[in-house]
Amino acid sequence: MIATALLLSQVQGVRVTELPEAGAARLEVQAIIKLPADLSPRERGALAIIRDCLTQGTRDYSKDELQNYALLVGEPIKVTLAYDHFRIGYSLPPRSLDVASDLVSNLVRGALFRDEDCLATLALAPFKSFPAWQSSLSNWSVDYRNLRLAEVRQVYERYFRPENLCVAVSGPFGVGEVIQEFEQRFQDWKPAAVRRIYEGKSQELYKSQAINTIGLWADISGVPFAQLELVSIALGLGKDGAAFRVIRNELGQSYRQEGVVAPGPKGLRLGVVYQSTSSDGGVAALAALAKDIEAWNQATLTRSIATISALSSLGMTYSSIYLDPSLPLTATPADQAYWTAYATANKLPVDRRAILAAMSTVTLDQLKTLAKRWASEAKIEVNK
Amino acid sequence: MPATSLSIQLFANAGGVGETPATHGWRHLLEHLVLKGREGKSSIDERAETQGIFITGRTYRDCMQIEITCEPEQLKQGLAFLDELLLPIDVSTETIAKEVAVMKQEIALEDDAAKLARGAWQVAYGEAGIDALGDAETMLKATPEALIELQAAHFAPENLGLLITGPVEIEKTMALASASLSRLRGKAGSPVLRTEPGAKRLDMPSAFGELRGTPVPGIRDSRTMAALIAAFGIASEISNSFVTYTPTSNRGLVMVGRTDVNSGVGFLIDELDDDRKATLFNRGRTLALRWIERYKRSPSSNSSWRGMLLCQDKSLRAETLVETMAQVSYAQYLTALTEFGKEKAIIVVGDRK
Repeated sequence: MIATALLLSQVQGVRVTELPEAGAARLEVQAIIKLPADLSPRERGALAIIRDCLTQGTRDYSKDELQNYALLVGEPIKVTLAYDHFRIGYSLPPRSLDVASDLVSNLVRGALFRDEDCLATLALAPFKSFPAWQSSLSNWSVDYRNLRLAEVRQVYERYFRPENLCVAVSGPFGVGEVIQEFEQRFQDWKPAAVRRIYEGKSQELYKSQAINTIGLWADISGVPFAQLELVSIALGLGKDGAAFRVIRNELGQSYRQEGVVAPGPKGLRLGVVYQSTSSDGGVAALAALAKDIEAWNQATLTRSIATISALSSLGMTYSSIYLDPSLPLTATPADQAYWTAYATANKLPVDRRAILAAMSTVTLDQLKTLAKRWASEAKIEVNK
Repeated sequence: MPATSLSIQLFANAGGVGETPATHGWRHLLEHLVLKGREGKSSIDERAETQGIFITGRTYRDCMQIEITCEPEQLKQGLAFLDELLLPIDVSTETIAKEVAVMKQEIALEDDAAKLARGAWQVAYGEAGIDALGDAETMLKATPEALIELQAAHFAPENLGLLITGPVEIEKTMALASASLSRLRGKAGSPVLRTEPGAKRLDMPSAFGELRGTPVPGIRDSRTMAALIAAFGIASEISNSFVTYTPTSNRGLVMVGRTDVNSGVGFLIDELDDDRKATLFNRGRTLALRWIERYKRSPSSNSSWRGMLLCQDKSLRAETLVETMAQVSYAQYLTALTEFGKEKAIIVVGDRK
């Protein structure tokens, strides 16, 4: 369990949060680069190349050195691209804050992007497959056609800037140590001037499975985050969630189905995502869920709160929050640091325990009202 | 760090009930039906989740796992749910047909890594390597009586390993657990015999990616550990790669592959120079050790690792594997690396257009 002390500092625009956790076996370092919602497919293509080439070498570290640091605790470096952010995650042994800050600094402002690495990645990029579940959650397209290496480097310079960077570090250290370390590391960061790149056309990503992934999505703004998350749990987390009972057990249309909160064009959006060979395109599922919501009662609320409270305290690997389209957020220290960095960048509540506490004050009426709003506003997206 | 959760895991070895073409998927179907609970009662999942208790299950080639996760003070409730799950299933042909419809969706979800691995097992062991996921048409042929019989045989006491991990009082827990399992009857059979492979290569138009694998003896054997070191070392050179091996005392398969593109794995293995092989030995051993030491991470991973070993071989411990891994010599690793080379490895290429 991460201690309550959260300390936030800004240096050159970089927001750094520390989460001291006495007794933890390692440092968890999560760095978020906030991205604008209106990225062009061309820029997303360049960012995908950056994701794949970032750990090939930096100003001060070779590819092997970057990997060997990660292997000290046996976890690979996590570099992921999501709708509204780019994430770098590192696990390191305790007492290596200097290494942690140096690695982050190297990766966000000193990546080399050697021609041979980028060209090899570029050559393969258009042929890469993309898991269907992730396609539905990410909802973006890319354009790699004729992408030049200069453009990749320009996108790196354009977005990997101090004002876009949020870092969160958890682990066994004293209060203020992380802040001091990162302040020293970033105090000389003077990014280059911003240059734009030209707009390109989009291109479909290869899908890795021959199954439809159906998303029932609604952009719901102006609602406290705790309510949004709780509705996603009632809709689809756990085997007594509405999606499991309705889409799987009643309709027999799916095996995997989840309530989801994920970044979208207008901020976080609420959805039910499921995978099915059914060709009805989600109409029956949405109608059945809307009917189910009408019947929600106090037991629905009780189960939803009990589920999220228990999942958090048990440290289980389930959640309805997908910041990164490949995996839901979990209660591990690494993911808690990830949430902290993301929430800081997006002005969301940072402390997960405060969010859980706020959920326990949500009424059945509020839960059903928001769920009904979701059912009436949800648009069906089918990824074939 | 003190454990904050309690993991109750029952592992049932597949001794005597392994997959055959005629029963392909019956064990998997049984797992689904067991976890649904008996009809006539209110939903077991609603009752469990309202108390913050979670029930899940998995079917592997060599065993079936039922996991109940709860707070440490919920031991009694957790075991009561396990008791309920171990009652003879209450099933009709209609229930079977309805569940198989859901399982068709599960089968359609099989990802490329699993498809490639399934192909490699077919190449390696033929019918004795048949997957546990199942075939919908074959599952529909299962009768309620046959499934009840299968349940009794699969959950025969000799096949079982019950793991309870978390901050509990050992004597009290042992007494409660013994009471839970005391009414189970049935006799375990012998494990499926897996013999040496014949063919070496499979092209799968239904999948995408590239995989190389090598058949290995049981997990207690240092040759298996050497193959794991080699596979993890190779995987560390390829972004988005995977290593697959399910711990078993039976013959198995260590595989390394990727599914983002369908080339590059074999080329890398076949072109390794001596310096790189040496680098990958250290790296592969570190990663393989970390993989085994995952049992230390949480009560769930601890029960999972130990249970999988215990239900197959009562003397097998996770710590034994760490010791065996540490003893693998460089020469053994080089031999294992050769087994992944183009002359010897099982090669599966998915070229779905």
